Amino acid sequence: MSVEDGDDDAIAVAWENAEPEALERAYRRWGGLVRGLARRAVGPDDADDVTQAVFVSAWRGRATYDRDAAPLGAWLVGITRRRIADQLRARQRQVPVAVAREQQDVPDGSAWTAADSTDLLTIYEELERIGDPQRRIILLAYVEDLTQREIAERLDLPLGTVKTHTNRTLARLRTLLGGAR
Amino acid sequence: MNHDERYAGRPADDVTPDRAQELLARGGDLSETPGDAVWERIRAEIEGADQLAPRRRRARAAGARRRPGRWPLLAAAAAGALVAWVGTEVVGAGQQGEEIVVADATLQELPDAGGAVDGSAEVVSVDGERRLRVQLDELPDTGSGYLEVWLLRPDVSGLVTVGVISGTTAEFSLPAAVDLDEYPVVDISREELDGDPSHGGLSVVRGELSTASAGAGDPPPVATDPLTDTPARSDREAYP
Repeated sequence: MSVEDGDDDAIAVAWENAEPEALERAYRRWGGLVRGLARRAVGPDDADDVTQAVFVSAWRGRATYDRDAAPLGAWLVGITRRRIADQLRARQRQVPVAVAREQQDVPDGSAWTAADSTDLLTIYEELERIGDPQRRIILLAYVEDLTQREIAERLDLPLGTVKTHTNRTLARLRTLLGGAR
Repeated sequence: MNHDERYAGRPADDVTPDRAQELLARGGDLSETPGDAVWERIRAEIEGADQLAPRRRRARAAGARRRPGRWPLLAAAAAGALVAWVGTEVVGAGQQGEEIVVADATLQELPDAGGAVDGSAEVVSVDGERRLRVQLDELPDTGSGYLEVWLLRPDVSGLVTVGVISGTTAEFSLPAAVDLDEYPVVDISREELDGDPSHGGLSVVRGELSTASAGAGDPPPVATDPLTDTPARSDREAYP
């Protein structure tokens, strides 16, 4: 997984300056995250459409992006949330039963409720907002299932630092998710 | 590494996985970049409105003009955009004669519109002549420029200019040669008075005409419902 050191801020600067390569760089960097989040929310059939809509609307609305207000990744996750909502609304207009269908679309068998996918969006939006190394630590710990010690070695950080970051970031996520309820 | 040792390294308050941990684990690796197919679709959609990547030099060289500081629409119309003036504004157009609605569209604001402006467009057949009638809910800010009405291909690979709209309503006569099946998207752009006849790349509203067949002089008797008109497309163009 691409939790290696990224030049997220460099991409954000390029984006803000509307440099021609910025969109592709952003897509290469966050396309997987956008599509992954979309997939959990609308299923694989519509995930590509949502991904396309996210990057197209983000690029068209790039003048509204403010690097001081949010890192680009967090901003894109916010747009992902809105495009997912659009997609779900469009479904409701088209096929009244389509919403029930979405859960079968997820092939891993675990049912993603709307609350689950919303919370997952919240988590990733916050991780993108916090940035590295906290983001990478959390992903290595809970997505890749590495121990704190392994993470410390992988990232060449003191074990105590990894533990502190993990605890603080988890607490922050817990507050966010709790506050949303 | 055995199980105990593995979890010994976990933070102290990590005994019961909380919701964030559970969702992250269940969500799995989300970092895999989707295939190039999605990227190509994004590029194709964007290319209609700006230039993007260096790899499209090929298309630019193929005839599109470049201006510093501008985002020429269809610079990258790889298919070869043809800009042609087709519309003639109908002055004093009235309701005389039998009029049949051939197609209509709901126009929706685009991100750069700088405010919520919606509108509608319809193509009517009056005495065998097709007219594009455009109505905006309010007049978007045009700054020092003006608003121009276009018909686009759905993939923005080509466009025809219809005319200038200076109020909230306008009506244009469409020549028989314009195929609305090929150019079904009504687009209104903000243009600068710079002498450049190509699309300025800043669209304020857009909507797709819903029509079965719009052959000249042979309009279908019934217009289709604009509300069923490709909701995904308009969603895609909503404010991010």
